Amino acid sequence: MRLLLVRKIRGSLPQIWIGGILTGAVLVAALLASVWTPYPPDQQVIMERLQGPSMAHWLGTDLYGRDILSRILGGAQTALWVGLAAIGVGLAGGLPLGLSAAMNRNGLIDTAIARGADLIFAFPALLSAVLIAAIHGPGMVNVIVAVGIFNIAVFARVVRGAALSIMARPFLQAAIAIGRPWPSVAVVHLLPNIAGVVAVQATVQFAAAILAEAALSYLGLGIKPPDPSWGKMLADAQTLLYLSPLQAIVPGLAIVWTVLGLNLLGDGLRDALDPKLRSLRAI
Amino acid sequence: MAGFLSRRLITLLLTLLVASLVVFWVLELLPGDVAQLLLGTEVQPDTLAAIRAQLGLDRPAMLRYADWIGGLMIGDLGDSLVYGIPIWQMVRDRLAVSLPLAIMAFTFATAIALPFGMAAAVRRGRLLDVILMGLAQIGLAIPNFWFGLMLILAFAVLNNWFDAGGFPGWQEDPVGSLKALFLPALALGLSEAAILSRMVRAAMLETLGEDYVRTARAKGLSVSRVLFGHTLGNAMIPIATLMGLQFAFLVAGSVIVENVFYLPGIGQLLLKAIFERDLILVRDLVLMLSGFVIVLSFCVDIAYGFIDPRLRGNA
Repeated sequence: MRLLLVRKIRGSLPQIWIGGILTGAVLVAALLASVWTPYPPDQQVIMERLQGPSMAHWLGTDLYGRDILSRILGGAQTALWVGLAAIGVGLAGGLPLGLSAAMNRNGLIDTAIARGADLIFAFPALLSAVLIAAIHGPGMVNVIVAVGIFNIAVFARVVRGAALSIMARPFLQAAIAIGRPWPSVAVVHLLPNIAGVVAVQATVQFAAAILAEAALSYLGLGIKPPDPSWGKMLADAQTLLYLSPLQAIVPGLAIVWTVLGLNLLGDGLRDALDPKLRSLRAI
Repeated sequence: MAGFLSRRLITLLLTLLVASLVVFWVLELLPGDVAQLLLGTEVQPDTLAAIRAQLGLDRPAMLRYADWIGGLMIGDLGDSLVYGIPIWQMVRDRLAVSLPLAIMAFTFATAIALPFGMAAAVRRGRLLDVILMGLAQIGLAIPNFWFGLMLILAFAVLNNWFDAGGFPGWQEDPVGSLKALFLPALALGLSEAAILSRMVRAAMLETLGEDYVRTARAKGLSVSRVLFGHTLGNAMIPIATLMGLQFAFLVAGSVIVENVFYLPGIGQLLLKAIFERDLILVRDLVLMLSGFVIVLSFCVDIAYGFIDPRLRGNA
């Protein structure tokens, strides 16, 4: 199965390559930021505030004289952490829930999980994130929880659907027939076969988490200052649009770059896993 | 059909009930109560007790919940803690901004998505398809608030064609009000346009692959005749339902775009209520917005049932 996947990806679609390069660059930036940035991201030099691009500050400085490039790199780290953690929360909750729902098809557990997911989807993701952040105050952990809860519902639904389609297959029926216990069937037979679908969904949710973090931080409900966040940088830049437009442009481009990369990667992987879709898609 | 309707209606009412419970209890979990939040920590215990009694906070939560829901049933949303005026009045004024904004954004999104999606489907696999769907991918990746900022930069800062934000009011200046909603609606509509154009393309492709479309072409009908006479109508069924659901997301998205453009809409009111800890207002607004989404998806479900009888059975 794994070999097949590798082969499919290799002979594959341009969007996987483009998406992979875009995402890879962000990953490198975030890793780089953990060991080195041109200046400490929160170092304020008031004398050097609101400077344009120069050799000393490639992207200029903000209102407090902080180096914008350093804050963009630091923001990459923040974005990836929030994205990864929100996926982690979603998988930790959604995987067991989705698997139990699939095994208990149309039973009480299945119905309860389905209704629970319906309820979470009834609140637009951004709205529930705003509500949670409002109650617990701004901060990275609260953003992760807010986005993560939505992800639990997403993954539970995806895992259930994928698991049900696999469970109809003969090899799984055979495993059940020879009396393997359910947990072992789930781990040995089900999980490896739904991993691809889950991975695709994870990239899409990753991108959504980054967008949500940026939006919440922009509203003042996300990452707390002085930690660097692209959304927060945009909020700060808004009042300075006349003086220093570059400050409003660069963080936005960073968000678009990252989200575009992840979305392309997700789409590409989905098509690679399911060639039937390929004919339907242009990019 | 009656059975399908009543089953759906019961689900709708149950979902609304549970949603209201969730909103109520989530806000109950807050440390300290409303009275404490209003008066701060330096307050005399007897003052606190008096305010609690006045707000009814000394009564059990279940009763307060029942009061709230009872009030909602007869259209009484309560009074704002901070402003002391009836919430329905605030909501009514704000809807006069938010609703036109959402409708305008939706119009933009549809006006872009339909031709784009159709053109991409017809030229599937060709250069035009790749360019249009590439644009859609970029549109999906652009956060609406950043796009809003860029619109302000381009049309209010660099060129003085629009104001950077604010809203003059419908009565005072109808044309100016419409103009004030133009850029926000564009910002809000962009990602919707991207999502919709992908959906339109997929729905068109699916319909174009049907036998009756091939038959229509085979009997000599022109491409445009087949496209507009036979394909579009059928492809519109899934598109229309998805559009209904997308409209709900648009309303949620307006929370953030209204704050970019300083528009006095529901979204701005919600954020203000959060920062001012006006919990009664937060509770009402969140339930209103999610209730709107729930009712909208109910309508979409029902519409689907009407259009496609197969869906009624296994509801």
